[in-house]
Order: sequence, then structure tokens, then C-alpha cells
Amino acid sequence: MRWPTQSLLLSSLAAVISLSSCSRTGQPEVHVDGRPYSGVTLNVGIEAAPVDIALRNRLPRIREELGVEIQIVPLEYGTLFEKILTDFITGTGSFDIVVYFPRYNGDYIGAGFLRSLDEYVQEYPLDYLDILPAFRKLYSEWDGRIYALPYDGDYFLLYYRKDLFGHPEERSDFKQRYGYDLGPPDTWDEWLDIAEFFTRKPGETLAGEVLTDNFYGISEYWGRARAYAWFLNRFGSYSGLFFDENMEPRINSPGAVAALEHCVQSFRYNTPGPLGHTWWNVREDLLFGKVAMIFGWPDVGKAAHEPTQSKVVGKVGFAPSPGVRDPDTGAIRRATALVSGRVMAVSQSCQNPEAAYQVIRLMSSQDVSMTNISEANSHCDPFRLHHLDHPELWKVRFDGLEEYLSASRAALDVGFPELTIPGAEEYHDVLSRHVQEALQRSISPQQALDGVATEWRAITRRRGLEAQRRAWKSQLSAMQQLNLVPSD
Amino acid sequence: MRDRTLARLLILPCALAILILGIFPLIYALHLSFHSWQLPSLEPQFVGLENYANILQDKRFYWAIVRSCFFVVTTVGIQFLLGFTGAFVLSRGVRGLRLIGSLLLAPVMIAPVAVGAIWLPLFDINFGLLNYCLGLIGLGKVEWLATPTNALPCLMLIDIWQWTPFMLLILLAGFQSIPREPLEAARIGGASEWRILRSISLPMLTPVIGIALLLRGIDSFGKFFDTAYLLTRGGPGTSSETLNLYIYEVGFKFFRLGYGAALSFTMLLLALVGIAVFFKVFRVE
Repeated sequence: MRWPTQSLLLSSLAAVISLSSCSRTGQPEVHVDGRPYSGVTLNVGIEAAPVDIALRNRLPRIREELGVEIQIVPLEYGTLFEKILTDFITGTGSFDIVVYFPRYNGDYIGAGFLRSLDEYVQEYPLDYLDILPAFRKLYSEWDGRIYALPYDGDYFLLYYRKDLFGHPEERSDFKQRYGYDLGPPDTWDEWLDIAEFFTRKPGETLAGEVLTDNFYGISEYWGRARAYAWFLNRFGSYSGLFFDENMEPRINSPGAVAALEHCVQSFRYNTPGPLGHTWWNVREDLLFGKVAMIFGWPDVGKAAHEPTQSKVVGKVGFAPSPGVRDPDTGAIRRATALVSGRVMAVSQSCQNPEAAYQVIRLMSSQDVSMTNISEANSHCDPFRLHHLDHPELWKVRFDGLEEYLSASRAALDVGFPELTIPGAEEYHDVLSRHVQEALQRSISPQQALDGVATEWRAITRRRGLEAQRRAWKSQLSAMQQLNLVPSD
Repeated sequence: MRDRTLARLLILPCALAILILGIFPLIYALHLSFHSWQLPSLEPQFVGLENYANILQDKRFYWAIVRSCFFVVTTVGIQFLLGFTGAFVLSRGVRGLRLIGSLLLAPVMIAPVAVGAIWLPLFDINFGLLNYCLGLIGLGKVEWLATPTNALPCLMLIDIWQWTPFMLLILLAGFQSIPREPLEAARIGGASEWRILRSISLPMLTPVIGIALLLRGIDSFGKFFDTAYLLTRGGPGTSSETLNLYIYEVGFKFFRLGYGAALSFTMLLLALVGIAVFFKVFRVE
């Protein structure tokens, strides 16, 4: 009976010593059981499945390497923003780590609810520069300091039906009708042509077969929650500037109006019910063979080659986003909305910030994140160069993986951010609401975006012009460094 | 004297609880409605009646009222017609009344979020049961929740489905509480069933009808939220945005606490006016 008591006492003593001392060697002090943070439990607020699957899959490894026990607090996607913010404001301290959309950076980091990770990054380095610049500069940093690390790197890819685009009869018909070769659209104008070309009724022929059901050119997510995202994909290449340097909205500029007009024109080639669409509808439309192409998040690329999920296995090709051709130079200006994505950060109320940092460091490390993004069921997407450069390390293998990664790289080179300033959720919601009104044709694109500009001015005024201008200038500066908008 | 003191002491905890849990938040919300407070970063600033002045110019608020009133009048009206008809039929003696009553209560007992979760797949444009059934009879797919004209009626359909049984059961209890003597006397006197219903049953049911309409009206105006939030979140655009959805968004999504409080008080005021008018019309005591 004496041995366990002695052992317990020794373990406790070792735990006290290891927790009270602070390593300066770049390696945390190791606990007697070989795990540096044994006995530490951390609460993680994260969107429920499928987003939390990658974290759940890595719990044994976190326990094994760090000794940290993770309690997952699943949150509903639609109320994640207010639930986390309410917890922060009231000081409840329910979350040690939060996994959230980086568009909330202004509200979470800007208001001082999250810890800067700079001191921990210096002490326990990570392959920070391997994280793609857009995710690093736009979503992980705030005012030049690191506050968050990526968990999921969302961006958009063009998915098209290779079998239809390569069908000789379709190619010939298309060339005859539009005067150029059928292929993945390089410009948004070509996108419209292809969408129109493939929209067909029952009885018509598609790739040599008579259709028994409607076939559509495209499917897009115009539901209220993300209507702004599909608009931003055009906006980034047609215009790209949310505000000018004085915080005056540029969302109703001629370029922005042209972007919304394009959305309205595309709308007629959509599968039915796009105003009520969620991402799952868009995915289904591609995977069930109802459309010629979609523009969407990277997870569908993995699913398209999974026979249990897809009826078009081997028939889906990948391409970067279309753009807008400069009439003078002929160059194509492209932009891919980096909408959604998730970052991990440590809350101010966390009692073990170092352990929390180690958890998010591990989750975003090259090794672990490679597993996270390449598992079939994880719903996490690439955010590191390492992910794009090493197809051989991917868990999911499918024909076209290299093409997928090459398209991803091209898309991420022109990654265009959401707003991340305080109140971004409200700015985006206003935009979604008015985009939907324009799509319903109850108002014109110009009227819709004028309405957005008016409401954006009110939000800015309410939140304080100076504070908002400072935050926007910081985001604008990062966008200019990445050549996403012209530097004046 | 001692008895009165003891009684007051016994009431005190309950009175304090009501004061703290009911009255204080109400007074605090009223106080808040005279402030501008944008969480998380700014302190509340006293703005007097500015929030209320802004409400007068808020077109979204007006449209939300119109939708809410349309929602209440239509859903409660249809629930009453269906419920009254059902209660009238069942009150005439139907076998298995208890079983029917239990089954009818099922939708009422389902949590609103679960109701939303049940109906969402039914409305699915590609895989929903409703469109499947329409397909069987050769009709095309309907964009149930995805068009401005359909979204609100779909929410109304759900409310009618869920709460008609409640209306029916209250009215059925009303029918069963009518004394038999006047009805039998009328029948012996040769009155038709329609005449009996119009001249005897309906007047005697008026208080019950009044209470049923009042309860459902208040519930429908102020509490139809969860299902709508799950299904449409007020969209497309704002086409299915009722007043409580709008207030939730202002106050709890975007944390404009002062304006949200002012909207809530305006809603309360409107509800009180509606109730006063209702009492006047129905002479409910």
C-alpha cells in the first residue's frame, strides 16, 4: 500500500515543480509522465460537426503529446458569433480556446478578448511563414501581432464537369454558338456563356443523351447567411475596395454594381430555389449531377471523388476562379473570396494560456494540419504551402489531386478577404440582405448597393468613425501588401 | 395584527422574486431604451428619445409590424376556424375521444426548434416530401422557403399545424362545459342545429373563444421565433422577418442594446394596444 502513496506524492511534487517553472529553451518542461501539461483541462468552443471532427480526431494525440484534456463545447454555426461574444462580454469564461471565423477578429481581438500569441510564438516557434500569406497577414494577425492560428483555410474553386466540357458534340455546339472553345471559364463573361449553354430542359440532349429532368448551368449559395460570399467572388475582381481610406463606402462603386449585375444575370441559370440554398444544396447539385459547374469551397473536391457521396466520380475538374479582363491590356484580374475559414485563438480568461497555445500550435503544425485537411471526413481545407506542395502526404487519394492542388494554389494567390473590422458580421449581413433583394429583382443592383452604402455609413457612425477607420486602414494596408487592391 | 404581519412576511419572498426577476429587468430595459449602447467596446450614452425617434423612421420596423400582424391575424384566424369546426364535430360524441385528444396534443408538445427540424427537410426543394408528393401528381417543384412570396406562408403553415390542436382542445372543453338543458330545450322547441349553435352555443362560448384567441394571439405575436429562425432567419431578404426576429437581430446578434430595448418596448406597447382593443371587442372580463 505504501508504493502507490509514495508514487502519488512524487507525481504531485513533480507536477508542482514542472508547472511552476518556465522553460526558456523552446521546449516546455516535461512532466513526470512525459507530458508537459498533464492535469490541464481546456474548454474549446468550436462549431459542431462536421467542423469539429478534425479536433475530435486529434484528441488522443493532444493527450499523448501534451497531456491536455480537451472538453469540446459544440456551437451552432448560425449563433457562434453571439454565443462566444456574450461569453466574453459577461466574463463567464466558458472557453479557453475558441475556433471561429476570422471575420470576427475585429470584435474579438479588437475588443481585447483574445491573447496575443507573440511571446509564445517566440518561445515555442512554429512554421509560421509556411502559412499562406493571406491567412497569415489577413486572418491571424491584428495590428502587427499574432493572435490566432488557422484551423481551416477556406477558399473557392471552380468545379466543372470534365465529361461534359470534353464532349465533342458539346464542344462543337459551343464553339458554333459563342465563337470560342469550351473550357473552364477564364472570365465571368465566359461563366455566363457556359451557364447559359448548359441550362437545358427535359427532352433536350446533353452529351448525346436525352434529358428526362432539367439540367442547369450552375448552382450558387444565395441564402441569407452567405449571399455576400458569392457576391464577393465577383466583387474582388470587378472592384475590390469595401471602403476608401476615409471609411466612405465604395461598395456601390461602378465596379461593385457591375459585380452585382453579373450575379443577377447568373441567377437565371441556377438550380431552383437559390435564395434558400445552403452550401449543402450547392454540393448536392454538383455531386448528384444536376449542374455543369459550381464555384465553391474546397471540401467538395474531396467529396466529388468519393463514391458514397458522389454520382460524378472521375468527372469533376478543378480550376481557379474566373476574373475580369482588362479591355486595354487583356490581362485577367482574378480574386477568390476567402470566406469562412476558421482560426484558433486563446481567450483572455484562459488560466493556462501556454498549454492552450501548445494545443493550437499542435493543431496548426505542418504534420497535424496535413492530416486534418487531407482526411476524407474532416471538412478542413489547406492553409499551408506544405499542404499544397506535398500531394504524396494526403490521406485522401483521388485522380486529379495534383490538378486540385494546382488550382488551389492559383486561387490562394489571389485570395480576397472578408471584412475583419469590428462589426464585420453586421456589415456582411446588410450586404447579404441587399444582394438577395437585387437577385429577387425587387430593386436594381445600383439601388441595392446604394442601400448597403447607407446602412454601412450608419454602422460606422454608431461604432465610432475613428475606431472603424483605424481598423479598416490596417486591413487595407495588409490587402495592399498582398496586391489584392491597388496601392495608391 | 400579528396575522397580517405574518402574512406580509410570507408574501415577501415571492414579491421580492417577482420584483427582481420580472420588474427590475423591465425597468432596466426601459432605462436602456434611452441610451445608445453598442457592445462590446462602448459605454452606454444617454440619448433621450433618439432611439424612439429612429424607430419612427425605420422602414424595416414598419414592415416587420405589417408581417407580424398579418402572421397573427391569418394564423390565429385559420386556427380558430379549423379548431372550432373540429371541436364542434368532436363535441357531438365521437368514439375514442381521449385517444384523439392525446394525438392532437402531440404537435403542441414539440419544442419549436424540433418543429423547425421536422419541417426543414419536408420543404427541401430536391429531396423534400412535399415536392415528392407534388411530383407524384405531375406538378413541378415548389421553392417553398426560397422565394419572398412563399417563405412567410410556409412559416404560417407550420404555426397552423402546430397550434390548431391547442385551439381545438380549448374550444372542445368549452363545448363540453355548456349545460345540456338549454340545448335540449331548444331541440324540443324545434330549433335547427345551426340555430342552436348561433344563438345558444356561440354566446355561451364567447369567453372561452376570447381566451383562446387572446392566448394564441399573444403567443403568435411575441413568441413565434425559434422555428422561423431555423427555417428562414427572416429571409429571403427580409420577406419573412417578423418583429421578434428583427429585435433579436438588433439586440442579440449585433448587440445594439439601446435600440433593441426601444424596439422591445414599442412591441410591448403595440401588444398592449392590441390586447386592449381585443378586450373591448370581445368584452372579456
